Amino acid sequence: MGLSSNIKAMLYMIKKNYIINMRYKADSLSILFRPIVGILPILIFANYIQIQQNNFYNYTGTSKYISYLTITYFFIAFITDLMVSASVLITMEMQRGTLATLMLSPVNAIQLFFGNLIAELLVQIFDFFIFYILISLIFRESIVFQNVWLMFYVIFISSLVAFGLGILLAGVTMKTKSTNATFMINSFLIFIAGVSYPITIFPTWLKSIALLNPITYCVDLMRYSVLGTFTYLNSNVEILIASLFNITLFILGIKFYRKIVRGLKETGQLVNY
Amino acid sequence: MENFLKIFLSSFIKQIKEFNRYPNFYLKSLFYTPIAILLPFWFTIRFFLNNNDVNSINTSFTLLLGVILWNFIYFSVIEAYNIISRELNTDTIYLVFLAPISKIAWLLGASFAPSIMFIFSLGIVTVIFYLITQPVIMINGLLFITALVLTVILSWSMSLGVFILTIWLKRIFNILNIGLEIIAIFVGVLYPVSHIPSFIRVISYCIPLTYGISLFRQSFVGVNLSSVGYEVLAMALFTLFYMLISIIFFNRFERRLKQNGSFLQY
Repeated sequence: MGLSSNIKAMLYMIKKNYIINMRYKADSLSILFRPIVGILPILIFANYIQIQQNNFYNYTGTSKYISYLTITYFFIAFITDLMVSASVLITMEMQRGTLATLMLSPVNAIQLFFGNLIAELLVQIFDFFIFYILISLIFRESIVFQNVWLMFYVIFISSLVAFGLGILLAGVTMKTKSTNATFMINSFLIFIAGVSYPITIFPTWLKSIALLNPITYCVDLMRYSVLGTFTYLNSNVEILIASLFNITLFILGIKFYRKIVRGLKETGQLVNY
Repeated sequence: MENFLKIFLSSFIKQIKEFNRYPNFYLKSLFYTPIAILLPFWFTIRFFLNNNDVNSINTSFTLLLGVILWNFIYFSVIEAYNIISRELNTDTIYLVFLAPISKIAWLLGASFAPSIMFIFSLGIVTVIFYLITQPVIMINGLLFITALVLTVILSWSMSLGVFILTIWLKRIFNILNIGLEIIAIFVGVLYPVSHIPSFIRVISYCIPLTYGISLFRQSFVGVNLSSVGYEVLAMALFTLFYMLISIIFFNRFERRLKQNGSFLQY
């Protein structure tokens, strides 16, 4: 099928998901508000502990711990959503018995997933700006964007790696018939990326593993681009590593996904059994 | 009663077989908790406390106990949703609801399977954490068991609510998550409830899990059962109250959904 047919199919996929989401309005609206509710216990905890600003600054290079936590939390939510949404979509199609139809149609399935991810991406970016500003106002921390262009570049390359890994994990979901592997891999990558702490507090061996994780650089660069925090390596080196790492993983993710699906089609194990 | 137990047991066994069919569920229960929840929270607490003395380790460990108990509730409720969604998506739910059996027994049996699994996995994780961090603690076994049993019963009543809400609204995954996250703010998962403003605390005291987390933490610092008697009583009463509410709500909505013809997926 040609590119225009694939794009048309992708738009239909977005429309289909929109119609399904509108059928469950309350559930769909909850997606918008989840991040702000999720971060509150961590912010109250940080307030309870009464952070010593000097210590926090020595580790991170900023004294704005509310902004530090908020930015990291939203960014992690953004990456997680992109990574797991293809797997969740696969599981739903599998349980409804419509996966086979989708996979046997002459449309490029990767573009269909991409259509689904674009919608997720827009929601998350919207959430990030609205709630970062809102939380900063509530907790009276000034809003800063140290390097806006770098921030958008980081969002772009992070979307690449999240999409690549998401597609790969969608393949794993088809193979294992469940999203558990997706959530496990995602949670491990997120944990070693430094969720609400810098990886410099890790023991050395864990720090070494964390530096092999592409998401570590994405999270670090995101905090750097917005708040001007310390980076683990030289910031230019990190940008280069993250770019190369993420583009490679994006290509490899799609390649492995195709290999898994081909294997499943050959052995007749594509749908639930 | 005999029939109730029989259905409870067969539903429990069916669910275990389902887990055996997809063994990565076991992996999830043992892997996901420490990696996705405990380690990140541990490092968060350690990072913010920024101190390595005994008091700091003890504070970190007891705070983390709240996270562990919270995680048990969270996983149990989410798994209850997964179970009922699976039945809805595969159109098998109506077989259960048309059969002349106790639906509550069937649903409780199904949700007991993941509960047991999570108690087991979270128990192992807690012991490992204890061995690694070496806090100075003194466990009160009786208080610990009391808090745990009441929390399991609480998870049942929440699961019942989730079952019927899912059948009613068909898709509640995000609502459920946001609901649980709101509860997490009130029950003091990462901080003592006394730290939150008093006008919000009133709500906290109406949620049985607030007492569950508090009792669970206190059972690890050697507090006597008698000195927290009022908390045990409050938790037991609230748990019983919510269980009754869940059953009434369940029966009423089941009838209503059948009458409206909106029982199945549409």
